[in-house]
Amino acid sequence: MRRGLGGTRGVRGAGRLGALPDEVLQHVLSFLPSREAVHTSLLARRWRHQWKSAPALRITGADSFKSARELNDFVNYLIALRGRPPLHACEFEACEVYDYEDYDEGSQDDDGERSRYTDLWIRYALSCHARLLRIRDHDPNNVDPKNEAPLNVLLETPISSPHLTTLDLDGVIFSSKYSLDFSSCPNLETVKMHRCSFSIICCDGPIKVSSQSVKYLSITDYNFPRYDKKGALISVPNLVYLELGSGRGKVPTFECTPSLLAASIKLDDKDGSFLLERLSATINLELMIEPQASAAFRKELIRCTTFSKLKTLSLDDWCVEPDYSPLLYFLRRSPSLENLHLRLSKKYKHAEETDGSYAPIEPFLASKNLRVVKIKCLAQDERVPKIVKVLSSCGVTAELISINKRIWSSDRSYSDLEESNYSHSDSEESNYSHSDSEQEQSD
Amino acid sequence: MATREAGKKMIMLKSPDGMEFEVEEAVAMESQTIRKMIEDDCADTAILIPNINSKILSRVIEYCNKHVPTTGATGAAASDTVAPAALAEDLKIWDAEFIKVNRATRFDLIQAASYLNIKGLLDLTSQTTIDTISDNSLEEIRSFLSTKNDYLPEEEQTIRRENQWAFQ
Repeated sequence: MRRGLGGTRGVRGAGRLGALPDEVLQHVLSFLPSREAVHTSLLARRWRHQWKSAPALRITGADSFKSARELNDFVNYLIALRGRPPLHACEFEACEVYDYEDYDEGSQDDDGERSRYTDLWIRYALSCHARLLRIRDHDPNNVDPKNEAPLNVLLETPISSPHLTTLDLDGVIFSSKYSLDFSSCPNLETVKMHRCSFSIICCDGPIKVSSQSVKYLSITDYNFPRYDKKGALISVPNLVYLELGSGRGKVPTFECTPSLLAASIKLDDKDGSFLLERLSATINLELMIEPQASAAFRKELIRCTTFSKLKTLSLDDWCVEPDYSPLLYFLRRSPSLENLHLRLSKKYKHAEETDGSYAPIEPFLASKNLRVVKIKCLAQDERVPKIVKVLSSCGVTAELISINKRIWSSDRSYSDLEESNYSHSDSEESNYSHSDSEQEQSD
Repeated sequence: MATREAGKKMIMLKSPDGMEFEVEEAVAMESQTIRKMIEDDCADTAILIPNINSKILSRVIEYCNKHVPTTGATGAAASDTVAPAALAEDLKIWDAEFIKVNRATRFDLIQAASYLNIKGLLDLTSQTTIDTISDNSLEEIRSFLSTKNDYLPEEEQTIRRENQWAFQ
């Protein structure tokens, strides 16, 4: 149905949902979990068939199904009876509950049941021109420990669609020959893979993720282990935003990403070298690296050229532990830097491990555009005065620095204690702002 | 509300109750309906928006103003310079405030978003409506929608049988 300019002219029932045309009702309805959407058939005559045209399938709230079989039956009925009206969004959440009877008879069956139709449903969704496809399995860590750890949802059929723009996978296993070459999805822009893995450790070739169209890529908590110890190869030349979190197996290797503007990298004990040069053209960069992984980054930083466009930079403890060289390198090589965020989370008692020495290679001034330096730290973090001193040595005045001290509570969460502008916090520190006055004038 | 800035083309939107809103063309083009009119050159002077009163229209313009991708000095969209996650979070908080309106206003916004074809606003208003009715009984939903059950008892039984697969 086409809505022209006069399309709703006759409608007088302002403020009533019932006054809306069917098409709009169906759009509203598409935000309901599919089972509830079918239940609206009982509301009134007008609602009897609306659910069939709702442009989304949302198999969510999977815990409302008693078993994987019941969920499968539901979805199979749903797609058979709704026919093929177009879909915008399609979400499948795997069943969390097991058929306990099946478990007694033979536990293998149930895992098979959980992903028995997933490929078929994906093909159905794509044939209805779905733009968003989301497949989600439950986190095994949250599943009742009485059960054996379930196999995740297994995908066999590669995804191919000219309409798909967003692919969001959580807890999915790709079969051994699965291709993550998205060249047959020319409009795919957003790919998120969380807790995704391959079913067989050794595949024929290297794991390769490739797409010409993807602009936003998020890979977190991945599991790409391989016998030959090579990381996955990621080839997304038009990438604009990257989120990379820690996982199992080597850190993926990225081919050239000239359009990358923003990146958030969080690595634990993995060596993520050769990543930095891919990040040198970013405007917004977040680098959270555990100490075990920071050695490689430190080495690479020395090789790295400038971060000429970088405006906002967020770093954690690795930039000041065991010395300040990463912080200094970034300040020196980021001529456009405007915002610097240091999120320090180590307990102050570790501070003595830091000797506080830093060796400025030669004096330099940080970006004159630097307007905001925010330091989040624990109360009594002894490194902070030293960091302020280091910053002032390259022309960052104390007025720019604000410090947010937090209390580390037993449940490992922070609570804000105070936020202070460093220059006003006490008399000793006000010396820093004095010594900075020359630099201020040079701005 | 948009202000006139050098180099920015402005569009006049008129509500049926006679109010006029001057908005940047880019903001107005958040509406696919208006975009089409501008692209078809049907928007020389002012565009009359039928059915949407000035109160609702001003809210819609407020939404579009917030959601239009702003252009920075470098020509790169501002959304590129901020990590999408952070930007999305900011917009989400703004949206949550924006949609704190009464039911009648929300339905009027759905209607306006649908007519003007503003996907983000239609999704926001739809999702909020669904959040309100989800988990409610049929009777509560009927009352929320001001809808009467016009089924005969036997018809209702038939539908329950027909859709039994969804009622287990």
